Amino acid sequence: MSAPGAVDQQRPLTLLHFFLGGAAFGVDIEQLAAIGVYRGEGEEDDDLYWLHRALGYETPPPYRAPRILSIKDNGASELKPYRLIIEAPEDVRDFDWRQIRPVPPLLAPRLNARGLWGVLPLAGTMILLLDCQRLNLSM
Amino acid sequence: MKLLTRFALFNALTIALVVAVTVVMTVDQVTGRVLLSALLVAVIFTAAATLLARRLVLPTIENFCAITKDIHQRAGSIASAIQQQSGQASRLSSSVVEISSTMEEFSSTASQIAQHSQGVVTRADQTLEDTKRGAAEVENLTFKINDISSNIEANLNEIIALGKKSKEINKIMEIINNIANQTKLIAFNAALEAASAGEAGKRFGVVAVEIRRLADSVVESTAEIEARITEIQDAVNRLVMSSEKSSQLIQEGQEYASHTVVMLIESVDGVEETADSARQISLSTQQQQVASSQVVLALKDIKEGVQVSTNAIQEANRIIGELNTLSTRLQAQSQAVRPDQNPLPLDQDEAAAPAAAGGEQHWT
Repeated sequence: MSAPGAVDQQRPLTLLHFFLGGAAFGVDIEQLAAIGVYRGEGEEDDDLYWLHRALGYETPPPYRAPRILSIKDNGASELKPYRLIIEAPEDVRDFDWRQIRPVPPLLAPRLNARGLWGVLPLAGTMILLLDCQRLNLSM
Repeated sequence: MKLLTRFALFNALTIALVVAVTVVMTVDQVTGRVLLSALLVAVIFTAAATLLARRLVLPTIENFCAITKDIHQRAGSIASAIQQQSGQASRLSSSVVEISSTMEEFSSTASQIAQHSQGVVTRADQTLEDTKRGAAEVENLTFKINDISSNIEANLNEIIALGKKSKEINKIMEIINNIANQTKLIAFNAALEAASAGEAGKRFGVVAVEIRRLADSVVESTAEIEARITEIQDAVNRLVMSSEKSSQLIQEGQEYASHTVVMLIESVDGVEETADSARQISLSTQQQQVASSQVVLALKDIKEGVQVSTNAIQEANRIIGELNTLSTRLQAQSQAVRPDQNPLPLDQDEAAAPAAAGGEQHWT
């Protein structure tokens, strides 16, 4: 899986960094419209999805401070804006593209199907790069 | 009696002879016959008088001898009685000496007991005073414990209030945390907008970063504050538990102190009774000492009296001995004037009566 489409690799990659269930994730802020607070069951809506379900996990990990990411559409007709519930983000940082590593070939089919397109090593952890515009929201 | 008869006859014959010679020498026959007749009459009268006197005096003399013998016997009996009495007096004197010695030891012992009992009284009084002071001190201690308990309770209430305030601080921290998180969220959104704005949003993005860092700093600070507050609350809880335990211990101490006060008060009563009893004993022993001293003095008087009595008995014994000697002599004299009848035997046993104990005896 390649990097999120239409990215300018000349500019640094700005990632929204967060943890969920002990795994580190990073999302390109170019895909995000806004970040909001998840206030509970009153937020249930058709365009609201939990990240763990989108990744294919039924058992929810603990969400300490859930936040709602407003995902932009990709300009194509097949993806409409939606909202994704994640854990509270840790940071927004710029990363060098050259630091990014592709997912291992053995896991690539499975991970790519879930929108995970790369790995970024950082301070002893592995940040899983998530393309929100390629998540399988039907899961 | 023989002596009297002989003496009378001799006198009569002598007178007769003298008169006869005188008459023969001086007067004539008639007068001489008259005188001779008178002389004969005188001689006969004298003989008659002598015989009459003998008959009249003899019973008296015999009575006199009997009385003398009786006196002798009585004197002997008196001497024997006095001797017995002397023996008794000696034994009594010995007993008095022993009793006196025993009473002196008793008096000495009573004196020591009196001194010791007085010491006991002094010690009992001191113990009573100490016990009263102890009771007062324990009572004061009880009051102090009550004060401490009140202070601890007040401190406990203050600590509980402090714990409640720390919980309120926690709520404020939560509010601050919420604000910081929202601020951070705003900073994230600002970063998103800055990224969307491209170059024009770079400064805005810097501001967003700083705001986010400020929010992170606030969150860190609130986390530290929460940690300190948690520590304070834990310390408060430990302090509350410790204070409650201390309060319980103090309450137990109060109970023990109260029991001690009650026991000391009862001890005071007991010690007071003991002191009174000791005083009674001391008084009794002192009275006993005085009485024993008086007994010792009385025994001394008795001893002196016994000694005087013994001396008197000895003197009486001596006198009785002399009396007995006199009676023996009298008896011998009475035998000398008796007519020639069987003489009354002298009471040789009475004459040889044993000497009075401790005294001179004069026997003939």
